[in-house]
Amino acid sequence: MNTLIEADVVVVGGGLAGVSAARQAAEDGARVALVDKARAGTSGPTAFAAGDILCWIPGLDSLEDWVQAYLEAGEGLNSRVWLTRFFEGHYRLVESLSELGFPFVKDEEGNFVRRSGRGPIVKCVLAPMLEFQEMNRRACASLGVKILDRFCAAEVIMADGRPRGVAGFDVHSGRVTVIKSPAVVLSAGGCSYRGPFFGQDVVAGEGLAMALAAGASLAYMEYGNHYNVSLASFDTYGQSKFMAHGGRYVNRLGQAFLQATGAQGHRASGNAAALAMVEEVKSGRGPVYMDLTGFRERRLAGELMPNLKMALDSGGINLFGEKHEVIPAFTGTSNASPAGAWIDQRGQTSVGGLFAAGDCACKGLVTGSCVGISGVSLAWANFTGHLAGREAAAWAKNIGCPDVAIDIDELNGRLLGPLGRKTARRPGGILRSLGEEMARVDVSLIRSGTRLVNTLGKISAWRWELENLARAEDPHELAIWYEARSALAVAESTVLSALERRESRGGHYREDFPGKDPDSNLVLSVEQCNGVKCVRPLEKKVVNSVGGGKN
Amino acid sequence: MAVEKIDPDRCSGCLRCVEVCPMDVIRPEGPDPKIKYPEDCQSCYLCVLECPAGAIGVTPWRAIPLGNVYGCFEKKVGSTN
Repeated sequence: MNTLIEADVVVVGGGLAGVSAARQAAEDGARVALVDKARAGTSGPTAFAAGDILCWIPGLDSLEDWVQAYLEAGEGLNSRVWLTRFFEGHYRLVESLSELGFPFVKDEEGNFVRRSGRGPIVKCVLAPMLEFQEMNRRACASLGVKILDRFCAAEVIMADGRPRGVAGFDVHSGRVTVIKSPAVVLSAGGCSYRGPFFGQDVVAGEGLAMALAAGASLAYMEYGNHYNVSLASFDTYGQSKFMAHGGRYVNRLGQAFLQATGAQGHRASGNAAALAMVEEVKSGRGPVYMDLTGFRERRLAGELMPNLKMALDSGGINLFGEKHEVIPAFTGTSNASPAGAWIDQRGQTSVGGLFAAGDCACKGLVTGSCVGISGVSLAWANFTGHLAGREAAAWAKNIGCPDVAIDIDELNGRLLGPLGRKTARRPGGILRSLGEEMARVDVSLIRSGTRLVNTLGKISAWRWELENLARAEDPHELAIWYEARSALAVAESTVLSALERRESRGGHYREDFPGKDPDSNLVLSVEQCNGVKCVRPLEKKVVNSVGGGKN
Repeated sequence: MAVEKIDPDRCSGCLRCVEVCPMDVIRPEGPDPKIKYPEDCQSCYLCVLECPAGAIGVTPWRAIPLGNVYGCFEKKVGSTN
């Protein structure tokens, strides 16, 4: 049984970027469908974010100081045009959302409360994201957005090089549904390979894989190697908040080693902290612990991270009084990673009518090669979500809704293929093996050509196994099959780009090319042609362009 | 680890947990929620936060170890293990 829905804009993924895109497109008069494989609003890492939203404020901050600091941190791969537009535009957006009643934390005089974090200049406004997202979802519903929860999107339907809609299936019933629309927003997050934080298990790169398959370019993929720090025995988050306000990482001897590794000390980015942790372990001073006895913002942490408090209570964990073993915690292209689908200044990918937002869109345009800036992920999702929603609605208005013939039998057979198999391999096992491989610091943090080629071989083997040998028992497991397929595409793009960047720059470090090569200051993009992924540099002017794609 | 139990004496059958679980772990079985895919639970506590009856028990401990994160750089000298 199939269902057909018609819309002007389909939004895939209901985190901060997706729900904001859907709300904005509906406010602009478009008929919008918002789909999420879980529940739109509370799906994705946003619901579990610690609520730090990077926000430059005029009158308090110098725009030129901020732009300069981010250009320096980006080491030649980010754009002044984008930074200026992002800082100014995002501030105006936060102001207007606050006027609409979205729950930002304010002081007694009604001013935004801001906190610092890890990065060049970091000042973040704060918001309880669960409450924020429930309000965002309610606003969508009241504007008539058609919300489809438990809808696993599998592909963008393409005709003549343009999107014509999205096909997917219901995760409970397995029913295939087609949503026809001339504009599609991909906002399904990044790829964490089932990462070690609250909410990160969800993001497996489906939006990135769908963008690639539709012919769009990904960019900054070698920087899809974001590390943070997590507890060895359970998921946590809020590391940025902890470390900016009195927390420390100490080695087995009780030494606070981060202070010795650079001016940022305990406010170093997750990747810098992970690198220092590797050094401690290599030198036999591991394991590494988190010490929060000096942490000064306990009340705020409790208010903004309610589920961390629950984990501590139910596990009988004394997080602030005792030290706990921590590990480098890989979140891939998710969170503060520059990697994602390349977008122009309208939030459009290199395919006209196909837009990307949030962790699905490359935030390298503003962060450059710097991995791990606090608060940038939510700010980018907020900014690009509204941008993509507005521009997708405008695109749909101009293009109208050209009809497209869909072969339902072929679509059913293809989308549900793994359901009928009698084979033994299961997709969850492949996804877990891939996650373990990509999380290794000798694959993603301290790289070498030899090890990357070795990993590439494993990825190819896993992909062959998934496509030929892995079965899904039910639609629930079919969704995991698609997660595994998407994560493999993201991993391959990341490793190929890491092989191509034969130098070390920002968050990308090659043992075999430890220095920075002045001639390698171009952004790398990944495209898929006839099933083969190709990496090529983007010209500087493309990175700054208003519409430099292939449309 | 993960979601361990839904107390039938407390559960009101509102199925809010089914609605909010990001990992599709809990499914309706007749009028009641059932833990169907516990292996996929990410211990995010969203069901606990949203349950009006306080019926759901979750523990934080990782079910699956994170693998050899340090790869070839691991050195156990001085490790307490």
